[in-house]
Formats: sequence, structure tokens, C-alpha cells
Amino acid sequence: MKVLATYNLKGGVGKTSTAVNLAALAARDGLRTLLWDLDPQGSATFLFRVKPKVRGGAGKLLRGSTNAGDRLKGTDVEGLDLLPADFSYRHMDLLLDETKRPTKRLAKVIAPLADDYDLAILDCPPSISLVSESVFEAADALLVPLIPTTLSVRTFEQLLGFVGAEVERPPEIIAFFSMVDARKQLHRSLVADLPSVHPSIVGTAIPAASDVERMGVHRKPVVLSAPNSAAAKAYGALWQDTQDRLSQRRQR
Amino acid sequence: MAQVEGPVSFVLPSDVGIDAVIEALGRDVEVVADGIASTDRVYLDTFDGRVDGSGLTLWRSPSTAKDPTVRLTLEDRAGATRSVIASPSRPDRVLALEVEEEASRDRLESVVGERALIGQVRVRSRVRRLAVCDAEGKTVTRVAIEDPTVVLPKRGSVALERRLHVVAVLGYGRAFSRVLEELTGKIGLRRAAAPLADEAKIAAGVPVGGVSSKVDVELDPGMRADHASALICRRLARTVEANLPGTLADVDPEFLHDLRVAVRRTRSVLKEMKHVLPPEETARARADLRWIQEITGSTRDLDVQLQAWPVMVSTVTPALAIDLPPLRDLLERHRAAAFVRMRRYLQGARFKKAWASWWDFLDGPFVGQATVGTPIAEVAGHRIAAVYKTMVNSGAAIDDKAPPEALHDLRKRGKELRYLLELFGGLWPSDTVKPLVSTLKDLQDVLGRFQDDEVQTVYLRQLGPELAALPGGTDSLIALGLVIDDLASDQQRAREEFAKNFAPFAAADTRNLVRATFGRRAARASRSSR
Repeated sequence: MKVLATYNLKGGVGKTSTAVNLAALAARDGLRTLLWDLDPQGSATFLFRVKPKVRGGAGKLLRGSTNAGDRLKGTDVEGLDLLPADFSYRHMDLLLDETKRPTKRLAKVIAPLADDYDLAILDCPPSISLVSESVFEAADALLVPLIPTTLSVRTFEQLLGFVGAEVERPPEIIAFFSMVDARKQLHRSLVADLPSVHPSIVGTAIPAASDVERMGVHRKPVVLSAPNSAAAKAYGALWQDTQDRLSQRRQR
Repeated sequence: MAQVEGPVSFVLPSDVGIDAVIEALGRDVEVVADGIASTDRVYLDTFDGRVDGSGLTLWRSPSTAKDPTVRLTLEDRAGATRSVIASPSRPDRVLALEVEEEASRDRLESVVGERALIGQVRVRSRVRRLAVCDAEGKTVTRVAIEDPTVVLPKRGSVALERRLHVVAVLGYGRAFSRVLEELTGKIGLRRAAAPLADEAKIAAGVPVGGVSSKVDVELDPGMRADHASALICRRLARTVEANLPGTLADVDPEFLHDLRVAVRRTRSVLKEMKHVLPPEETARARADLRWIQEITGSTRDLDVQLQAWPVMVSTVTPALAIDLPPLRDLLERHRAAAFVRMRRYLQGARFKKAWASWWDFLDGPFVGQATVGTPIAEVAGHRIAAVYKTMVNSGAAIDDKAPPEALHDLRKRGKELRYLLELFGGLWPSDTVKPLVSTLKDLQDVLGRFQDDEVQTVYLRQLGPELAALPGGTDSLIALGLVIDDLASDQQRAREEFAKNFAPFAAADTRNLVRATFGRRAARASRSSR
């Protein structure tokens, strides 16, 4: 089972949109896919119309007294299952801190599911904390959405520095531009120039699109509700980029 | 992972419309249309039904001329499906090793081995999907109404009964149970008796569960020996015929293997039962069957060499293994030539005549010799006891200095005994036959290894001059020398293990068991009890 995580220190940059759309695309491609909504806001859980409730909460999951497999919910997308969000995840940092080897803990929670799924996608809350460190240890690759602004780029560089220095088994970083507004000069120039500075940024850019915003209304990934839209096509290209990067990593 | 219940299929009678289903399900929950789709599946299995036997179902989308890859879908007992891409080298079959994704390739390989997956039946369906939703509009159970049609090759199509499938959604078990209750309780639907693939196979005249080479002939101990032998031989003749098309099309090596085993078993029956069969016809049939065995021998030997290739490569260091490909190429070229020769013989006039004559013999009046009327249990029991005794005496004479031919002859006798036990062993209680089969199997394993190593060594050795003349052949020859050394070591080990495996076979307990079960006294007792 490959593990991807959508991560950014900043909120509102398109992590959940990326997680749900890539998960839907992976399932459509025949991969047995698991999405774990780690964000206590439960946006991915909401989008899939599942109750944001995990019996026993984060504590039992992390301690191992609840089997993650028993808490899964099938989504409306065949082949895609969800480990829902729970409000108790807001204390996940503290709960992790009480466990042995906290940065290995999230990997341990999903390890028993390795034979049942080909891909797990972790949708992370915006923070840099013990939760994110545990995500970095669990993931084979981090999908990092970047809004093309100077501050976003600065945050991204901080992330690269942190992962390179602090993570025992650093995941592949797959960054991409998100919420790109082609009318803005700064967006255009950063999208054009930055990939040559940071090779971890792939060529695909997700446009700022009302179709993506309307996912909350349709409660469906945009790749299913508006498959011919520019945003859906961009997520398709991002899914392809992601697979290519993972395949290159395997060859290395 | 939490177990999701497997899908449940119902037969939807023609007088129960889809609206009635929606109405029945939609009393307390919302039922929404979830699209209409057309599916076109070719169900795949090995010739002997290994996929079906493992509780799996496998299908592929029909191939197109443009796209050489195929999408295979594997469904397990719980209804969980897995789609994988394969790149078959031929349009009429898919091999497990041609599946691209490693885990699925391994899984399929563990089920089918080297047997090819071939199309069994094609089913086109129109599927109307419904989603049973909760108050949030979330799908909690899936329902599919399927109108399947079996597409018959060159013979039109057959519509099957409409089916309704109910598929559970993980984490919503109660909703699934509620839907089942509504369908069985309120509409009175009955569950489908067989999976759709099986129903389609029956409609297309394809055997469900594959074609078995097992000789499943019921014999009565008092049955005339000549008639019982004819029954067995007819069954074996049908096995030869069933495996002939796959052999000629070179679908996978097991077709030829099963064909040859059936011929060898038949020859064994004719040899062991010669005293109760018409002598002239039997002698002619034995000669014809020996000829079939001969014309198929080279191809089979080379199949064995190629199947043993991975083991052969593993016996040399990786540095030397890279020198072996010229040998592999040579084996493949020899195999291709042997196959062409074999196919020409099997499609030729001599084979047709021999086979027609064999059936004339089997279907003819079939009057045996003077011993006509002798019960099969008596004749077969006598032969089992006699062959066993010969083996015990021959085996006892084998020591470290015995020539390889002595072990080879013992193995041949062992095969005869094994066939007698396999074909006629059902006439005796299994608790007496099984221990004998078990010790015989252990003995045959070690003798088989000894003989296979011998045959392989002789064959590889004779390839030497030809191999040396090829580009890269000299290096390959050096590696081949090490392979032959390893075969010699294994053969020596097999010889050393012989005594250990022969001892239980020839032990007093086994001898007493054979005497008590198959000996003359036992036969007399059996006759008087009848």
C-alpha cells in the first residue's frame, strides 16, 4: 500500500479538494483506495456524506484499542473507503505525545490495512505539529498544494528544510500550484518560473474554479460532478504526475 | 478490515417490474437512479477450472484490434473486485505472468500456475444501477438490475433471466440487511441458485468447473474385467480428445501433459488387463498408443526442460546466469521444431486412422478372452499384488552400485502400480488403498527426481556442440557445465534417499496390507461373499 498525504502548513490551499479528487481518480483506475480524513473540521468526510464520527475517537485509534478497519465507511465512489474525521482529532497532538514513538503511530494505525488497499491518502489538518511529523513518517509522498504567492513559496521552502533535516525516512515531495488565477501577473510568473528552481514542483496547476468551490454543494469530487471541467482535467493531470513521480521514486 | 458482506443476487421474475422494486425499497429510504451501463464480459478460466475451483471469478473486456492490453477483473467470494492490466502475447489466452501488477500476478499465479486463462463464455448485459440512500443522500446499499445475454460464438445469443444484485457498502451492514428483508419479504424474490457466470456457461454448453482429467468411472467389484477396462479406456479416450485441441493450438503445456498421461494410463490398462482383452486388437492398440506416446515425447521433454529453467538458473551464480540465455534460446528453438513435428503427426492420417480404430475397438462387441466373466476386483487385485511384489523384489536388489536403468525400471513399475491404484483403487476401502498410495508416492518422488535428472543431463549434454557454435555459446557452455554438475549432485542425493523411501513401501506392514487386500485369498473371500 502506497501512502500519500495532502499537506500544507497553511489552511484553505486545496488540500482536501486534492485528497478527495485524487482518491476518486485512483478508485476509478481500479486501485483499492482508502482516504483518512485527519482534519477535525471533517471537510472530506462531509463531501462524502459520511457522519464525522469515529467510535472510540482518536485516543482508541492511536492506542490501538480500536481497529481502524472496523471504523471504515464505504463512499459513493466504488473502490474508495473512508476513515472518517472525528472532532476528537483536534487533540491528536496531545494524544500522540502520550504514546511511545509518536511519529510512527499513524503508520501503525493503518499498517493492518496494507493488504486491503493499494493506496491510502491522508488528508492532513493545516499545522506543523506531532501529527504532521507522524504523517511525514507514514507517507511515501507528500502532495503539497501551493498558492502562487511569495509567502506560500516561503512556507514551502520551510517545509522542504524541515522534512530534509528532521524526518528519518523523508517522503517524496510532490508540490503543485493550486487555486491559480491566470488573470494575476504574480500567479502567472510564479507558475512559469518556480518549477525550474524547485524540481519537486510538478507542471500541473489546479485553477481557481467555481466548480471546485461547488463541491461543497454537490458533495461530490469535481472529477465526478463536472468531469469535463478545467479543474477536473487538472486533477486528472495531477494524478498522472503523481503516479509518474512515484514510479520514478521506485526506479531510484 | 471490517468484513463487508458479499453481494446477494436474486432472480427478478418478468412480472416484477423495476418500479415495484423501487417502491418496495423506497418506503423508508430514498432510492435514486445511479445510471445505466452496458457491460461486455468474457469470463476466463483455465481448461480445468482452477479459477472457479478457488472461489474466484475472472473476466476480461473483449479485446480490440487496436489495444493489445486487456483489463482483467478478479472477484473474490466476498464480491471484492480487483482490476488489473495484462499484456497477452496471444489473443486466445492470458497467462498469469502477463499480468502487469505484481501482487495480482502472484495471486493469480498461485491459483492457475502455468495454465493459460482462456475465454469460457461471453456475457453482454444492460445494467441499471440504483442507490439506496440515507437521509444525508449517502449511498448505503447498491442495487443493480441486470439483463444478461450470453453471446454464442457464431450461433446468436441466449437471454438469461433478469437478475437483481444487492451490494453492501462498507460500514452500512444494517441498511444492507434491511434491503434484503424488503426484497425477500415484501416482493418475495428468490435468490439465484448459481452465479451468473455458471448460468451463462450452462447456456453456452461450457462445463462448469472446467474439464477434469480425473477418471471418475464408477466400477462395481463384480463387473466383468474386460467391460470395466473398456469403461476406463473410454473415459481416458475422451480425456485425450478433450486435450487435443489445446495441444494442437499450444495453449499451455498442461494440455499435452494431460493428453500423454491419459495415453500412458490407457497403455497401462491394456498391459495389465491383457489376459482378459482380445489379444489381436489389444496388441494393435498398444502399438498405436505407443506410437502416440513417441511422437509427443520430445515436445513434452522440452516443455519439462523449459519449466525447469528457473531452477536451472538458480543453481549457478548470478554472474554465470547471465551467460545462460543462448541455452534458453536453443531449447526454445528445439521445442518449436519438436512441436511442429508433433502437430504434423497429430493432424496426419496415421493418427486419425489409429484413433478411429481405437474407438472401433472400444465401441465394438468387446468380447474378452477365455477368462471372460472374471470380476474386475479379482483381476485388478491380482495385478496390484503382482506389480507390488515385483517392485519389492526389484527394489531390494538396488544398492549404491546399481545401474541407473535399475532405478528407471523400478519407476516404470511404480507408474503401473500407481495407475492401477488410481483407476481401480476405488474397488477397495480407501483406508487400505491410501496408505499404499502414500508410500508409493514418496518412493516415486525420489525415483522421479533421479530419472528426471538423468534425462535432463543426457539432453543438455548432447546440446553441447550445438551450443558452443552459437554466439556467446562458449560462455553458456561453461555455465551449462555447472548446471549439469548440480543435476549430478541432485541425482546422487536422490539415489542416497532411495533406501529411506523404499523401506516403508517394502515394509512388512505394507506387504501384509497388500496381501490381505489384493492377494488371492482376499479375492477368493470376496468372490464367496458375493
